[in-house]
Amino acid sequence: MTTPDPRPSDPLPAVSLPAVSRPAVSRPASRREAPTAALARRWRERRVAAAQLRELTRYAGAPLVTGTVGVHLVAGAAPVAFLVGTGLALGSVAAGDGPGAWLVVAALAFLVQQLLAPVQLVLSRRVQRRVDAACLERLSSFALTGASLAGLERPEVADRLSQADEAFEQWTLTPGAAVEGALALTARYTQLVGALVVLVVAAGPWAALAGGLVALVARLGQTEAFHRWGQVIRSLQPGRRRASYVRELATGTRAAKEIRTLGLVDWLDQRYVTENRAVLDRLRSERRRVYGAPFLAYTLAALVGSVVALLVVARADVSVAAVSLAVQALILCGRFGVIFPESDVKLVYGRSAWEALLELEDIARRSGPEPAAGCTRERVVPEEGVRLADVRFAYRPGHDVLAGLDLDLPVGTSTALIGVNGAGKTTLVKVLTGMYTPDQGSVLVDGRDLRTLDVDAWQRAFAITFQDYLRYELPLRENVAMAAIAHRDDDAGLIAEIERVGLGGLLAELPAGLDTPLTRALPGGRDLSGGQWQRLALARSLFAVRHGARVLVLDEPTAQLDARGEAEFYDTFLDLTRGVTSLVISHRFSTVRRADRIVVLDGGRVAELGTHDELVAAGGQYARMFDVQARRFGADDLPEPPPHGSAGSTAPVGSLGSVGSSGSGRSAQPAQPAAPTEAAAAPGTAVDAGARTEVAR
Amino acid sequence: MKDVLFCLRHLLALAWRLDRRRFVVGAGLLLLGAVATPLVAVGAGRLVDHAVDGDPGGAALWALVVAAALTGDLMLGHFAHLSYFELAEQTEERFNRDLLRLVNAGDHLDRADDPAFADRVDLLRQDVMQMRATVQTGLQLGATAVQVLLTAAILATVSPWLLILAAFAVAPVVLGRRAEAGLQVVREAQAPTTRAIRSLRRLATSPASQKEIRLGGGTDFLLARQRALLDEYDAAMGRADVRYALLRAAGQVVFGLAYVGAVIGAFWLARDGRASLGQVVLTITLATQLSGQMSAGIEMLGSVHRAAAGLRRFVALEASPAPEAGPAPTADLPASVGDGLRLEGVTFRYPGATDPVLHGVDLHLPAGASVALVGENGAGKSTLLKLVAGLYRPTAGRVLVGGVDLATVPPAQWRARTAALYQDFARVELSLQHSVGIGRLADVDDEPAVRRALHRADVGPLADDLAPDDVLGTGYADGRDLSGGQWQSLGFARTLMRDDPALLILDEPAAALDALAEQRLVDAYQATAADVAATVGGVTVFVTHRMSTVRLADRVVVLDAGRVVEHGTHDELIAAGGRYAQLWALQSRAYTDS
Repeated sequence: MTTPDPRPSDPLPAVSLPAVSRPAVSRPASRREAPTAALARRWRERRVAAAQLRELTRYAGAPLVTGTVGVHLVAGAAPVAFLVGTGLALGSVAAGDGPGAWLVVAALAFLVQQLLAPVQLVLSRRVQRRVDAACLERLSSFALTGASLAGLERPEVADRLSQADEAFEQWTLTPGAAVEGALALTARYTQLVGALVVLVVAAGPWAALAGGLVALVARLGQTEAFHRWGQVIRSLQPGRRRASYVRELATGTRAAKEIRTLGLVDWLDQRYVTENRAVLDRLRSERRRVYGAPFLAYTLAALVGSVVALLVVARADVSVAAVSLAVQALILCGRFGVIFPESDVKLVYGRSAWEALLELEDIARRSGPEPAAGCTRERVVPEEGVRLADVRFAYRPGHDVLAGLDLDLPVGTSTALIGVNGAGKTTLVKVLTGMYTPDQGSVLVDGRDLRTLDVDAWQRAFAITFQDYLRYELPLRENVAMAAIAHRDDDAGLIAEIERVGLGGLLAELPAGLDTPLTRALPGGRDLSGGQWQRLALARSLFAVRHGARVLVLDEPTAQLDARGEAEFYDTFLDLTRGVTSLVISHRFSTVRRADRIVVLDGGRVAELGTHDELVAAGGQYARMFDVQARRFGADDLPEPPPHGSAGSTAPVGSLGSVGSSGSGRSAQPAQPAAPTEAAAAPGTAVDAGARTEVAR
Repeated sequence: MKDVLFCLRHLLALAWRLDRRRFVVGAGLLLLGAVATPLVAVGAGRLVDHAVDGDPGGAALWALVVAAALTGDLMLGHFAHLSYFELAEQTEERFNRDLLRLVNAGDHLDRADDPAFADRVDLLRQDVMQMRATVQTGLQLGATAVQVLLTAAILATVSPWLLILAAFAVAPVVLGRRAEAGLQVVREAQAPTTRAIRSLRRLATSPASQKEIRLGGGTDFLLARQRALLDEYDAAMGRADVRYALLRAAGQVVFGLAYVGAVIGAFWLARDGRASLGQVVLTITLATQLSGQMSAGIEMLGSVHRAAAGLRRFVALEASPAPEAGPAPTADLPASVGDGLRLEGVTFRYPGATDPVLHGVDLHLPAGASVALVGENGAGKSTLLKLVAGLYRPTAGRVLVGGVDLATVPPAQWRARTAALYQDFARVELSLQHSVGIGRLADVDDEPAVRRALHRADVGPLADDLAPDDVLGTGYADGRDLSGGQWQSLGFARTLMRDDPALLILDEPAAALDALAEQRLVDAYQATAADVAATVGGVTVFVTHRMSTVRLADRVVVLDAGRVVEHGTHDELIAAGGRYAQLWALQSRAYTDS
């Protein structure tokens, strides 16, 4: 049955290669290692794999695993029973009797085999679902409670996270698939052992040995080649990704304007062919190396094995039954020498998410004590103020992002932070909230060092709208209540905050009101424009303040608002920050200007501090930046505000039709999946990306 | 079936043209392998017959045949793949190259900007990726067909009644497909659940979202929700699996009973001496294969059938060239733009849209001037830019350059004299040299030219930071991660590779830069616009919602709902106290209030 070729000649789709599975123990040191070393390495890898699979199997639960293995055992034994039945029936016919009882055995065995095939499939799927669900939960709870935030932002951790994430994205080559694939091997090996036993009994040990040779040489050859091919594909990955980038650029509509205006068709065609041929040429020579010559040897071995086994049978003076049994058993052996589509790919690639998770947990363990899970404690509420005293912080030694920063945040006042991109504004928030611990200096809450406080309890005091705020694919209710989720039934509070940020009109339009899912992917769901999402993110923080948060932090709260929305924010600023301690970060002067105090950050420390008027009068950096913009507005020729229009009104906007759609346009990033978090960042504001670079530094 | 034949004919003919040698070797080895499979059964039967007759010589001979056939069955398909996989790769490349030209056919953007066309192209790109697999499947399908026919023919030699088995082999296929379809329905019904699970997973694994979730205290809620969703999914799929298994089992049992009947029949014939024992062995061996071969064959038919839909889409696109109305334009552009660009009664409607985006726009963009377009989102600013750039043709009215109607000029001529940075400019993730250099293809490998453009665009420290060969972006390689502002600067440099454009277009130049970075960029724009005006009398048109930038333009045009509602200098429009003055007041308040 050669037909649907399960050979893994290209088991891995071009780009969505499941993350490179890193052997936990060691990786091949060089391409040409000694055969014995290679064997030893392979053996170690196998033992690691087996240990991992054993651990994963527990997630499926003993009854399910036992049942599945049992079914695989019976299903594997059935073909052997069938061939024994028919062989013996043949013998009794040859002896002149009727086929009799043996034929019944054969018939039953065949029916059982047919019946069990779908059962095997369904049980395997159940195993996979169970294991995957457990892995997903473990992954999520690790990411959300198990590791420190500072740790999660480290590149090697982010790398592993995305490796784990990728496997679940496709949801095919997952840890669960590895487990069910491993269990499915039971059937294959049962069948092989059965066939060999039949061969021994029917034709003697030599025939069995030859049959075993046929089965194992081809099988080992296939799996060995499969491993090597996986490495080839991995090593070709950069080239493949480059070629497919050029292909997507050239065949997509994203760069249609550039391709036409700049006349790029021929150039791109040439470029694609060059990149693609480079990959194909390597692919061809590697394919011949891996799947060519070695397989001639395996073919020879299989041929010799079959000839020996069959000649032993043919020349021996044995019964008809024995000949039939031996021939059929040998055919079973031959069928063993293939790639098992139900197991092999899954076993090799399915574990990568699990390995990533184990490594993640390991990194977290090494990098410090696990923070206590859960956020049940009372929040720490500052009575007088928060103070950053001579805080130094660097992502990399020697590259201080905060360099001796001193800053007071008295309770009940509003403070605005302003500074050029990359001045450390976002880092300051992370230190303030205890996500990062300062390398030097300290954060003092009413004079107490944050290091002596419960960080979770401290973080509960905050309501923060980050510049890359989240867009949850959840109903409006949860989207607003997420920062005070225990109060999500406070309809009055939710509505009040929604109206306060000018989304009252939107709420009225939504078909299911507060319970309308904010994603078009769900039935009855709605999507929001960039500006509406930004307002909603603000409402989320305000709702948290309503339910007890005492420090409000807004990071670029107007980045996606248009002129009108920005003006409204400016008008309502005093109302939004009344009674709370607030910190607003922005590079828009209209956003910061009304704060009680404005802080100019430069080079990781406070360069200027004062009210707007004081800073303008001081003639420093703030004054210069302000002047750059203000000069162009030229106070001298400002006309009277027009009598008509809602421009100067402080009332929430009624109609949202025209406000707030993001002005920064579609993202031109290639093949960006519409992940909610990425979508949030997609407008690709310079500040946002600047912050990321900052982290990477 | 017509689809399948169409698809196979088209693809295999293409493959044949591309590489005959690989075609012959691949297909030939596959066919040999297909013959080997039934040969195993035939040989096994004869081997048993000779053994029964006590003829060790004959038995040994057939033993050799079986051994050879078994080895061939095992390995021939394998060696075939070395050739036909390469053939398939070549076919895929051919399709991609054709698609590249099809998608970018036509001088105008009307089609490319149509979301329906974009969707169509997206589909086609997936279709084309399928073509490689389909070439492989097509060849395998041929081999399988041969195998099934041979198997059936050999079975018929034992007894024609055995052919009925083929009919029963259809039962598992039909019921299996129905089971699969039922499962698919449930999967689709569960799509919201799986989507929600996916979205939660992404939230949990993205560092950007972890901080907000943790600080907001939403962890436990989200974890509980994830568990609930996973349980819901497991329960639904578990129920669906039971129905699936029952249907599949029913199909298997039908075939199983028929098969058992055939085996009993063969034994019955043998007992009566109407068939040899070898023929019984032959029947047992062949008949099991029949079911597997048929379901594999039908599976492959199905996938070729699905691919045929994609191929038809591709052929349809080939048959519908980009809509270029009228005879090819032959007029020449004047060497200078004369008194500038004029729009006369220009109306524009996107293909498929009912309402025009622009209504009868009359506008003069004088030579050597910089013009700012102002208006709210959806007012038609970007569309107007694309019209004057010649990327769209007006639905009605004319665009004149130095008195010559653009519609009468070959588009490439005007293209060569415009330079543009659009709001949705492409972030080209190639090397710095190429990403910028493609702005003027003649200089694409000219390092000094790129360096000059970078300098003129005032990209700042980035220029010294990056070597020409450094890859930009992180989309496919560990290239340099750039901020939105940096991409914008590099896009600007790409635009400036053309240093003497008659028309310079800058759309929303500084959407999200800090005050100083914006100032730097605007200064660079200013300098370039002045340069363009002075050297070639060119026109600069830009769009922005930063009113402070608008003020720098010589003239301001205010668009509203596709119509020009105001135009004049900044001072004139402020004095007029209309919409422009209102927008101006709104933004300047934050700077001028006290």
